[in-house]
Amino acid sequence: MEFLVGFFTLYFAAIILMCWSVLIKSNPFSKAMSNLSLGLMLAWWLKGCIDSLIKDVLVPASQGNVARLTVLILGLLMFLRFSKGLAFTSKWPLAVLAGVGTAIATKGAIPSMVLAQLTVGSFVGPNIVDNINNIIIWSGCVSTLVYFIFSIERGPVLGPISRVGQVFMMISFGTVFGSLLTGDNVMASLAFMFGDPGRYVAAIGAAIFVAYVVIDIRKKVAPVQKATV
Amino acid sequence: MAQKVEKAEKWYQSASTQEYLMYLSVILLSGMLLINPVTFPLDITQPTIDFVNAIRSIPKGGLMLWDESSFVTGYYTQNQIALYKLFFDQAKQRGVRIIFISCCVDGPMAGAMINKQLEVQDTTGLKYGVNYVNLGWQPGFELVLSAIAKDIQTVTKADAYGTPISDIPMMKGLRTEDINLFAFNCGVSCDPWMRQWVPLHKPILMTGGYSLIAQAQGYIQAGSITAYLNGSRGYVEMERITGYLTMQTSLFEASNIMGPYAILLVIVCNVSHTLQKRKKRRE
Repeated sequence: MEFLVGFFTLYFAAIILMCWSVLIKSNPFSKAMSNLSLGLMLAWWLKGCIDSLIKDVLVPASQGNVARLTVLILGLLMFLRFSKGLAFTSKWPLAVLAGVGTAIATKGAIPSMVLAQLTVGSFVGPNIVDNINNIIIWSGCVSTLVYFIFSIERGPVLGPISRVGQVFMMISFGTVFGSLLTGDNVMASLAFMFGDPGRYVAAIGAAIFVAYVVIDIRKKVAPVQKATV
Repeated sequence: MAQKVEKAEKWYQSASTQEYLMYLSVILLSGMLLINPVTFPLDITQPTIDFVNAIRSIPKGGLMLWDESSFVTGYYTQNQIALYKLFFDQAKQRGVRIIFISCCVDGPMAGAMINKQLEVQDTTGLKYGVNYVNLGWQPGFELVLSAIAKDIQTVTKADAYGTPISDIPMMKGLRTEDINLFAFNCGVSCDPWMRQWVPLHKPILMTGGYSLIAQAQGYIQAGSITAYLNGSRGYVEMERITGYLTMQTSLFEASNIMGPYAILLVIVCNVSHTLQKRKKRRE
């Protein structure tokens, strides 16, 4: 058992390195890991759905709660999309989903999204920093909205405002991207690679990387002096 | 006949070498902080203090519900371990009972996250089914949130391990009104939670990434969300308050060092470029 745990830990470290190898350039290892993660996610989804189907539909139905089979029938109707003649029935479960979802959402929307918002007395903050923040939030919100208004011609007023909105979006996207790159998940992988036994795999990876770098640099840096007459 | 000799580029002058060195220094710098954690000074913000206080002020023998949305990566980065410990501390010290559930829209992985968390927590003196219960991942997202708000008994027939709800002592006769505090980890917009739980007029706590907290500002200002943990920083602040530091703190410091490093890199590169230009002009 311990051998298996050790093996999978090393395998996990190798997976991290394969994922990181995309930083150099796209390669079969990074592509394989990309496919693996997608497949794993779908497999989890499938397992979860089958489990809930058994737990919430088949078991209660076998115990006499036949009404639960309605859900199964509605789900199966989705597959009739593959039949030309019966494809229209695949819209029924979607209609039920949309109807129930809208009803549930609308029921709670009024008190939380409308009435509760009306209780906010003032948008003026208690100190100067809060107020500066509020001004930035308001200007960012309004200018970004203006950027997405395409039905009015950008004149001398709307043009600069939409440009400000564009800058706000660039900053936001940059921040999100940066926080993802230096985020917890990447850092946690790094911590794993510096730990035991990840460091052994990291050492092998580092050796391969150094070899690659040396070859790459030798290719790019021409050692021959160019002489022109 | 004039002969012009163009000097070959040295290896350390190559753009790709400098790029590799830049990445290597990033890895070494953050790696050093991960191996030898350094705790930089950090101002603890009011929302985090309110968050911890809200959990600590659940009445003795009271009940809280935690809706999990983090995937297993959350366990891996240890950003939830201190939070679960805070819950279990309340269970041990003041008899607070906890319901764990995952209504996560992104799938059953969040249910797996609860299992992983419960495996590593110290539950000495606590009994499953009496002090805490794990209802696992429930498909349906807002429908499940709505069912929780209406009647907790209708959410599921069995817990995460297949035990019928009717056989779990803690769940017997339990009503939604008995829950003193609702808390959730948010992976998407918090609107569904707000729509279903705000009408209950109970304290609601939220944890989520920076962008999700920004989206929730309307609810925070309206008082619908009692307190929140703002991304990684929120978790780290909570760890500082509770005194239980996990890898999350190291990761936070290692991530933080990237900011000054990037600024330094920009300054050094620009100054170096300007100096090289001047040197060429003189020549």
